[in-house]
Amino acid sequence: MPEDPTRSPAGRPGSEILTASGVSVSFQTAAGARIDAVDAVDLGIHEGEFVSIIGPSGCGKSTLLRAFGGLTRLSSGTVTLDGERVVRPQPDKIAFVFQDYTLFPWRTVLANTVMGLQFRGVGRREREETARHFLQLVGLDWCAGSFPAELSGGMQQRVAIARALTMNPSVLLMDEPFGALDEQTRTLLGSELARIVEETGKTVVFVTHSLAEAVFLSDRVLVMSARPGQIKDVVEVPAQRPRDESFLTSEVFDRLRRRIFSSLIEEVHRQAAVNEEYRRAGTSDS
Amino acid sequence: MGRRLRWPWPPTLVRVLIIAAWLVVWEAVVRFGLVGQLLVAPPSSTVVAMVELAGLPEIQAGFVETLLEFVVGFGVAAVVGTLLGFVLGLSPAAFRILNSPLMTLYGTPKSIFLPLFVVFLGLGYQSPAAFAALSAVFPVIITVIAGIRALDQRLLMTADSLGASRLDKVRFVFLPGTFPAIISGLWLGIKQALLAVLLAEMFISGTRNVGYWIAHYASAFQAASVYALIAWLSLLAIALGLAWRRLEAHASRWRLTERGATL
Repeated sequence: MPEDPTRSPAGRPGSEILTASGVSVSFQTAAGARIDAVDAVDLGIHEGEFVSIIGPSGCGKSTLLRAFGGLTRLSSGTVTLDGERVVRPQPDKIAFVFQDYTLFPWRTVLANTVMGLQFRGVGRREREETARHFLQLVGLDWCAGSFPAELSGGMQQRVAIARALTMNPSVLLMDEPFGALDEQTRTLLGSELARIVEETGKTVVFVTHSLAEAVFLSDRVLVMSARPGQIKDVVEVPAQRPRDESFLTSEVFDRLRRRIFSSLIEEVHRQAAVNEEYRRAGTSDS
Repeated sequence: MGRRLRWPWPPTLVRVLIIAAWLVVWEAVVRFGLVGQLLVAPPSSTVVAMVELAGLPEIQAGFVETLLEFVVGFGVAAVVGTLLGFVLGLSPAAFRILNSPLMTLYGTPKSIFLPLFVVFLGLGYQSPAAFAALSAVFPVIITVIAGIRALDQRLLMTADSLGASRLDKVRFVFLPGTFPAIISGLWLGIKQALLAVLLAEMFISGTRNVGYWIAHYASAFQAASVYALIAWLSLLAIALGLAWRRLEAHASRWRLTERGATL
C-alpha cells in the first residue's frame, strides 16, 4: 500500500491535471432535509489516466463527477484543473457524457454533434467539419442526417462521445455512459471507448455500476463508500492499456474483480440501510 | 395480433355514405314538410345559396372583415400568449406573481366583457378582434407553460455542460423543445379566436361582417342564406384545421420516427 492511495501512484506518466481537495457537496431535498452526498474527497488524477469510480447506487458518484466539471456547487473544498479552480462548466476543457437523454431529439446527429462548437461561436463550416471528423472516429458519419430516435441506445451514446470530443477537452467526465445499455452492447462499446481514448489520449473519469467495465477500462478503480460518499478504496489495474477482450477472461481480471467486489458489496449493504432509514424518516414526518 | 373483426368496406367509403345518408334524410325531412322551410333550409337550397352569396360583393367584404378580425385577434393572442407563457414558464418569480390573477381571468366567462369592449373600442373590427385575443390568449399561455415544464431537465444539464449561455438555452433548447407544444397551444387559440370573433359579431358589431349577415338573414327568415354562411365558415375552419395539422406533424416529425434496433 502506498502512503496516500488517493494520489496517483508513482511511475505514471503525465502530471496531475485534475485535483480535488476536501470536496464536499450537500443539498436540500424538496422536503427540506439536508443530504450530504459527497464528504471530503481528496483525489488527484493524472494526465492521460483512465480512472473509474464505482459505488453503490445513490452514494454520490454522479454528484462527485458533476463537482469535477463545475456543474454542482461545492459546500466546501476545491476542484482545480491545471491549477485553476473549477467553479462553473468549462466546455473548452471538460466535456461530459451522461447516461441517457443526452441528445437533443429535435436535432439531427450532425446538428447534435456541433452543439458545443456552436455555443462556442465556431462558424458553421468549421464546426460541421470537426463534427464529421469525430463522427467518423466513432464510426457514425453515415447517419449524420438521422434523428436520435432512429438510432439505437448504443449509437446515441457514441454520438454523445463524438460531441464531447469535438470540444477538444483535456478531461472527459463520463457518468454511467453505458448504464442504459444491455450487457453485450456495453462490452462492444467498452472496447470502442478504449480504442477512442487510446487514439485521442484523453484523461477520463468514468462513473459506472459495472465491475467488469471498470476493471477492463481503467488504470485505477476508486470504490466509493455509502452516502455520504468518500473514497474508500483504490485499486490499481496493473495491465498495459489498451486491453483487448482476452483480458476479460484473464486471471488478473478475475482477481481484481473479486477484490473490488468484496470492497463494494459492504457499501452496497450499508447504502441500502441508509436508503431505508431515509424513507422511514420521510414517512414518519408526513 | 389476435383476430379482429373487420369492416366489410373501407372506412372512407363508409364515412362518405354516412354523410350522404344524413344529407338525404335532411333534404327529405324538409321537402316532406316535417319541419318548416322558414326555419330549416334543405341541403340543396343551401348549396344554391352558397354559390349565390359567394358572388355578392357585400358578402365577400363581410368575409374579409371577419378574417381581418380573426387574424388580428389571433395574431395578438399568439405573440402575447407565447411570450407570457415563456416568461411564466422560465421565471418562478413571474409565475408566483402572475399565475393566480391570470387563472382567475381565465376562469371568468369572457363574454361578460363584451359590452366593455364596445364602450372602449367601438363598433368597428377592433372589438371582435380584441375579444378574440382575450379568449385565445389563455390556452396558448397554459400550453406553452406546460411545454416548458415538460422539457427534460437532463437536456438542460447537457446544454450547461456544453457551455450554453442563458440565451443559447432559450434559443436552442427551450424554443425547439417546446415548439410542438406551442403549435398545439396555438391551435387551441385558433379555435377560441374563431368562436370569439363570430360571437362578438353576432351580438355587438355594427360593421357588415359575417356575423352581421348571419343575424341579418336570420331576422329576415332567409334560412338558406343563414345555412350557406355557416357552411362557408365551417369550410374555412376545416381548411384551417387541415393546414394546422400538417404544420403540427412537420413540427414534431422527430417524435414520430421509429426507434431503431439495438446497436
